Amino acid sequence: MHNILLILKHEYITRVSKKSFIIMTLLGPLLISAFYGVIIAISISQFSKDDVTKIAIYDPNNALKNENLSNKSYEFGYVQNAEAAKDSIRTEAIFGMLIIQNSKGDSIELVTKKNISLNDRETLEKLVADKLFNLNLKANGLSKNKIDSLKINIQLSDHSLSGKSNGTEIKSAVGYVGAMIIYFFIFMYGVMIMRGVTEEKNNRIVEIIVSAVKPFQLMMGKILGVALVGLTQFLAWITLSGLLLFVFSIAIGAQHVDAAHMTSVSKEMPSEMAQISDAFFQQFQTLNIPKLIIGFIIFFLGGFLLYSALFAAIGSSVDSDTETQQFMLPVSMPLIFGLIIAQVAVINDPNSTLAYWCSMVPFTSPVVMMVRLPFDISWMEILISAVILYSTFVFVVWMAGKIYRIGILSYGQKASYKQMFKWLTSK
Amino acid sequence: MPNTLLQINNVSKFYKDKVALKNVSIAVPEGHIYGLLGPNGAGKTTLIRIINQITEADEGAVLLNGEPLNAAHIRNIGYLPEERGLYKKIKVIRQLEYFAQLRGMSSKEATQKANDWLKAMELYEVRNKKIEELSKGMQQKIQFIVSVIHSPSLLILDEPFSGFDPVNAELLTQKILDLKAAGTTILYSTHRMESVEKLCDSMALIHQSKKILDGTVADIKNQFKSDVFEVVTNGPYSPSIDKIDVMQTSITDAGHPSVLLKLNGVSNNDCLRDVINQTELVHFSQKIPSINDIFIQLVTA
Repeated sequence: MHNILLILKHEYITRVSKKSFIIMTLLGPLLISAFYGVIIAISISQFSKDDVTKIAIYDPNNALKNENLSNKSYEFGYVQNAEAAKDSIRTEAIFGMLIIQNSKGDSIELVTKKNISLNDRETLEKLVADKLFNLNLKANGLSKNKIDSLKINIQLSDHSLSGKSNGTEIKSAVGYVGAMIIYFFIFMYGVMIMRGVTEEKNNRIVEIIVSAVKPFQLMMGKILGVALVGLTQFLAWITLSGLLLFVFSIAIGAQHVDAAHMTSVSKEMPSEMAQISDAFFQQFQTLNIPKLIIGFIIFFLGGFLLYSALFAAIGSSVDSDTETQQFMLPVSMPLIFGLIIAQVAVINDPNSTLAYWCSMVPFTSPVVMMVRLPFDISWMEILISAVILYSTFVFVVWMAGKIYRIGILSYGQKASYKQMFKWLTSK
Repeated sequence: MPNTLLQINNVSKFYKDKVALKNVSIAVPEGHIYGLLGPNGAGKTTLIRIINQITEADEGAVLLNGEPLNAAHIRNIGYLPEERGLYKKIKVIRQLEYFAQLRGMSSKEATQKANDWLKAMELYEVRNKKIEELSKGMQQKIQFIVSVIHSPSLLILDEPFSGFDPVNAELLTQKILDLKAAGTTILYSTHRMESVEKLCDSMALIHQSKKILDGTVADIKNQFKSDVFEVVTNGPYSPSIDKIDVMQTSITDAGHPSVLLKLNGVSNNDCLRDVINQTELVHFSQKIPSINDIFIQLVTA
């Protein structure tokens, strides 16, 4: 135990005092926010693009009855000469031409020089279809307002027996974000452990160390040490992001106070906005925060430990980073599979059989259970899954320890599954 | 005869497709520098790893101070592996403290000892540098400190001189002799024979997984001494006793004729008389084989 603590301390201090760790810890939240900022900026600029796309309509059968289809982003003009319009497309005077091929208007060809985006294509389809629908209504003596008034819009708000909102959306979001965090940390730090082991093996330090401590202790100390590093980084990111958010909101708040006094701002706040934020807080209240935090830590650590042991075993049986590739895939497969299950099955139905079993199987449970966690999973289920996960971890460490014990002292042998199995079964 | 510190009894180690050690028994006396000799691949490193509890013997027993080897012995053993390794990016002093603590020292003790050794090895000024910033020779010296920092009673040195320049090799030799004087038993594995004669009190020779020779260096040399004598005279000499063979004749740097004689059972005195009858004697000595000669003779036999 003393040795494990010594190694843990050594690994922790060495890694935490590295320049790259400090830089990543400080820059991480900034980078992530910058990343999202750029994405948001791009999508906003997409929506508010102010250049108008010019499109000619060649409608020999007069299906559209020369109606005006133009709006903010598209300008349409009817042409009589298709060939002349094609010349304009060639010179890029106009973007493209719609050829309405029959009087019903259900067969339309679009001629463009450049490829059209999926988004633009859908918009065009909808524009023409809406216009045709309106024309049909008119031809049959129906008014659009009348039809609209006959439609009934339903707002389904789901409540549990206790009468509270179920908060399905926020639960899905929280679960999925938690699962993603677990997934990324397992990979990031798992690979870090693998590298560390390979490095010690290549430096031949390991011979001195294993003459002083048992390989099992070395591996345990290393895994726990790096787990703590990961936890430190995670907590630092949370704290820093919180701080950043706080500073940011103060800055924005101050701006509001400057521009118009706070009271008038809240008065002017559109009722729709107020409703949305109200709904958000109602949903937020449905979350069992302590349960979420405890569950997150259990499965974050458990998943991390389990996969770290596997990565350490890989690291000990190869001579260089390049050789690790062939072993990486089978180890990372269950984790990737878990994430896909989380995306597909769990979001659709967190209590489905598939979701249930994947949250019990230790190789997928860290990710899948995290997604299920916000949906009032019983403590019993969490406990069973955790026990399976942690006992698998102990078993895998024991197994990986055997591979590790022989692997770290075998040089120049090409690592293979057969070889690793031999090491497992040898004394 | 001193106590036996390390007793190895009939140890064998098998790997899947080969025998690494077969029935090896060795007794290392306390306070001796014990040479472990053998050509590459003879099984020296396997034996050393067994003593270090890195691998286990398949058969036989290893006793340290009369007790079967166990985890508590780790702090009594120091090990300098042939393949050297240190953390490249970690400061010298932190590295030494870490390894000392792994061998069971307290943090305070470790710092104290690390500083003492750095001073003794003329490395105190670089204690806050990273290993990768140091010269190869300095790294080797630090590696040596790692193996002795916890004052082990048994120090295992596997080719300690490789990578040392003559000046540092002399410093290292001195430190090894100091440790011996302080009562440390040293197991010295090498294939540099001349250093064995200089340093070792006793030795064992391992060849093809088996021990083929052991004992004190003096006894072994005696055991292998032949009845070959070198005779240097003022005038020419040729033996008049039939049984004596002349193996080689030459002229010494001082210009004296010199002959190598194989006596073949003729007594020293009879031979000497024969020489004196013919000419004036300058030098008469028995040719004692070097450990190197013995090694080559046994290994190539």
